[in-house]
Amino acid sequence: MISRKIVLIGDFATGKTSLIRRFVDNQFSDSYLSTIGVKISKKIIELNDTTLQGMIWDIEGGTETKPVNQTYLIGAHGAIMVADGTRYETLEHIEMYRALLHKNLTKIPLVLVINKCDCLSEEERHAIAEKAKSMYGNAVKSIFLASAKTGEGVEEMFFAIASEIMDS
Amino acid sequence: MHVQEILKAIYDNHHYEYLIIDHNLNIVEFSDKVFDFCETENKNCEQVPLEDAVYELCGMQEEIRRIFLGKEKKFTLPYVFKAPDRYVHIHISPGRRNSVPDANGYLYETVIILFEDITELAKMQQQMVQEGNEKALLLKTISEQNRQLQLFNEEMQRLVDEEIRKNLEKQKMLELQERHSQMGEMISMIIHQWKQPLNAIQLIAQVLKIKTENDTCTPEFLLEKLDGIFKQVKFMDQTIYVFQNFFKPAKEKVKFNVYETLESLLELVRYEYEYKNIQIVLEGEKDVIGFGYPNEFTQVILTLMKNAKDAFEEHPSDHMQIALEVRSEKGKACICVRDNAGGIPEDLISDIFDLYVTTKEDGTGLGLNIAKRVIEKNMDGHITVQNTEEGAEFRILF
Repeated sequence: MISRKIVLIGDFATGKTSLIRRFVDNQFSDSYLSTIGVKISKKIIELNDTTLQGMIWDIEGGTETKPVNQTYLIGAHGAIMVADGTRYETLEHIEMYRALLHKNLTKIPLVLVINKCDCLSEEERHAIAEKAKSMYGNAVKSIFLASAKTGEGVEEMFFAIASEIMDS
Repeated sequence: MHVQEILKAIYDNHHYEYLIIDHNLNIVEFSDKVFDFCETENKNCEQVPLEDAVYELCGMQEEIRRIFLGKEKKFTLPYVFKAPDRYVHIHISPGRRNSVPDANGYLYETVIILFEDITELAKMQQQMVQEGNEKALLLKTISEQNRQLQLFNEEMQRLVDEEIRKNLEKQKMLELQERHSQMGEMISMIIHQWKQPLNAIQLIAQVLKIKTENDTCTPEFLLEKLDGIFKQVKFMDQTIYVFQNFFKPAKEKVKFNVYETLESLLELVRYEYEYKNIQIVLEGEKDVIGFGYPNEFTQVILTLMKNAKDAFEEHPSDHMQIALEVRSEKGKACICVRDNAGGIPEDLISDIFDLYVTTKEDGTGLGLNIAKRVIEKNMDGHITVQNTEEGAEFRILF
């Protein structure tokens, strides 16, 4: 079976661990436990014509004083950049992560996901989706509104990145 | 040298495990407990492909090959979580060196994968990161709440400003109504003032008609009667002039004779009051000079007189009187307007100049507020009120 490395990258407390937990174990917890370093989960992803073993890297979130350790990105086949829909600055910081991925890896597929959408009103969802599209529409393959809490958009984003990896 | 002993001492006192791999990325050597950190269940993992044993190295084959080639010195994957609840640093370093690069160009025969157990360190680190992140989130929450509060305050300020604007508009409209009401009253007074000269003119015209028809109208008689008409017209013209001045906004302060100004006002309004059996008395010093806006001043006096007139409607008596007294006081003009209409209720008298405070059922509560603003703000004067035994007494000093 083909194994492919998928990294999740973004600011701290944007819900990267929760998105993975929802996808891998179909579980969610409201409590916040900061990820230290990296946690790697495996998940078989069945696509239409192939099966992929996703090695999903949950990388410690970046902060203003502690940037993401670049060695975690070595050999990644695809990346999911995660922003928090309730913290606008995390969407602005995506540009920094995009540049970091671009510097370390050439032309891997990127997907942008805006998590915690269950906390947003319809108007806010529409506004942030439009904003994300205008900011990163040309840099990423897809943009998803997701919620690790409700499961909305979670499978879709992992299948999208897996599919893009297989096509690349 | 004691290299072997030193290495043994380090190995015995630290939590290190290792794997050694060859060019084909197959495991060729390993430490006893390395399986604690590996995925493979094959305890004899020689010849097991590296990726099956250490899935963290998925995708890193090219990077490891560069170490064999001597193009990369080493790299470390720090703080890698290994279930259950353990953390390792994974160090990838060159192993045994060939004396010369082999046929494939490899400078090194082996590469060492070293697992360093840093669980305790990682837990401390985790606690620090957790605290730091929670603090940052709290600060962001506070900052967001402050922002929301600021937005709320701005919205409140906007609403307050809007209400103030509406109130000012309402006040302006009420003031306009008050002014129109005053004008209406003045017009009714003019109508009365004009009735007498119009009657006189009509009489003169009738006499002239009869005399002309009888052919007895001499030129002298005609001139005499025409003079009479001119006199009446002049009187009417004066009335209009006073009225015009009364509502003409003054641009700058002027010195004016207070007594004469009041006389001129009373000439216009006296009938209206006397018609209602209210006696108007003007007394005091005739040469007192005031400095301000005479028209606005007369409007204030008219407001006070009208309030007294309204009070007499509620408390009629046989001897209703409004007295205006002019005198000089410390170089300033002092005017007292007093009536005997019963006075202002004691519970209202301290607030009587406030906006919308009125003793009348259909009152707007604007008249005295405007009067106070005119005297105190526009003319730098003072207006006060007190009840006397018989009624109210307003005192204006400017």
